Amino acid sequence: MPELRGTLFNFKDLVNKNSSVRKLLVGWEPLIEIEALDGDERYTLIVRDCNLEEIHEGPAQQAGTVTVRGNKQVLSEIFEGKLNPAQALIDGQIEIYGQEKDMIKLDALTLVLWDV
Amino acid sequence: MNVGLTLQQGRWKATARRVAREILAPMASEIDREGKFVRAGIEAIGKNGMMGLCIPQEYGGQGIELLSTVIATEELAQGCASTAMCYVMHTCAILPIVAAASPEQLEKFIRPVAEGKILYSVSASEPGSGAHLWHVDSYAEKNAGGYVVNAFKSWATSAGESDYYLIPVRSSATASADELTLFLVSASDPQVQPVGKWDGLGMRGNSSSPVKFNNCHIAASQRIGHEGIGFPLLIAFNVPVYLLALSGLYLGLAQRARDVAVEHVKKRIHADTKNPLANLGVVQRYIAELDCDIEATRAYLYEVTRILSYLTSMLMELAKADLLEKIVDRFYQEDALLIVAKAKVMATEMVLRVVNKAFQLCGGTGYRRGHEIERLYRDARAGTFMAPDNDTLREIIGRRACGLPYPWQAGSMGAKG
Repeated sequence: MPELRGTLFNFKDLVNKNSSVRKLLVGWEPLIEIEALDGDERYTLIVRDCNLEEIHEGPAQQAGTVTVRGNKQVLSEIFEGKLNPAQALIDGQIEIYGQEKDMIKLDALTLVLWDV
Repeated sequence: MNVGLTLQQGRWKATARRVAREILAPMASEIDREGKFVRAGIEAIGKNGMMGLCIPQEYGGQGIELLSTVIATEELAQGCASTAMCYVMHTCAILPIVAAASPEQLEKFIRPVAEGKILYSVSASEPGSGAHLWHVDSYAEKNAGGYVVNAFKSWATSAGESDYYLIPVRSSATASADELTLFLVSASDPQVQPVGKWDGLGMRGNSSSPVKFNNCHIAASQRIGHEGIGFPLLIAFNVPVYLLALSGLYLGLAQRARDVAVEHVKKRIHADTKNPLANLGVVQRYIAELDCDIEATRAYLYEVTRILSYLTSMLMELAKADLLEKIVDRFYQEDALLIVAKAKVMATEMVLRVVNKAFQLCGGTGYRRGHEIERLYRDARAGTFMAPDNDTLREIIGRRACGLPYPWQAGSMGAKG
């Protein structure tokens, strides 16, 4: 099984190197919580100035803008680009809580990241 | 059967139902008989705030929330299918413009729509391509002031009545058949000429004539997006909305046929039995078949529309970041288009079954010219061959089921349409 923590840090590097993805980050500065349901893993991703700036272990200090919940394997596959998050959402493999515009932005970001 | 509408969707459903009953339905018979354009109905829809339901809120609309549009169309079709058809063809022009327009274009072409001040029409098919959106023969020639277009578009709903036509043409004489550019052409341009008066079997009030764009000079400010982005814009934002709204229209038409038939069998009493037709088991079974057919289509259509609302919003994010072209092939691979194509096939074939049975239930009464079921029967017939016709859609669905590429990715799939 892929290791979620490492996957997220690779994801951070890829996001910050990808100029197309960074165009999508303009004006969007969410706190994204990633919660694995089959373990005690939770991470907070902080987006700032068109960068995925930090990843903290544990829940967000303040209420997260977007929360993504799912099994570790599914979450890892999404952040590795093996699984389309929009399809995973439609199929009930993940749950996303937050404003719809933030959910859409997060899906768009992962879609572009693995295609461009 | 209603499946969990939001308050906003419920509000638009009620508004559209009121407009359909109070304004559209009383005019529908005359419109059909005389082939009059549905101007008064379109104005009523505009006055009730429904011309721009799918426009993002920042431009004065309700947000990219397609289910409200589908439900509104379904309700409007129960009053007058011709009016609903003009509404469909107007609505499906909106999002390609929103996705690619400059700030100035958004102010000029989108904000007034939300205020009910503009009626759009989309005119894509040509004699040489039929339903194949991925093969357009006409092209734009660039000149100092913009472009010159010569095109013969086979069909334009609201021809001679809309304010603008959204047309795709090839980006230049040397561009490939699917390298398209979108233009908004003003209907007031004297070089834009509707050809003949629409005189169809059904949908007689929607002015679906060919339109000739004859040496038409189009300013660069009326080009939507950059040259060559037309096909991705149409596939991402026009085709899904068109197919969903069109399916809503035929769903509404089927519902109305069912309701007319039920009213008839409740009132029609045979002198020998002194009982209404509704008491007959065979009639009850017919009605149950209608209900099952209609509600299965409704459940599928609403579910697909919810999914497409989400995906369309995502594509809009990408378009606004100039990433649409990079991602659109991936979108095809995910086959989101197929679920919409299936909805169109289901709705347009379901309505034929339903009107046929409803006609049987109304018997000789319905066969008389001017009876509502007779009009619905004629209005329903267009759905299966409206572009993209159901045979083309079936081929696309079947190709993808067999793991083959979409026809525009694989070259021509053969002449049809």
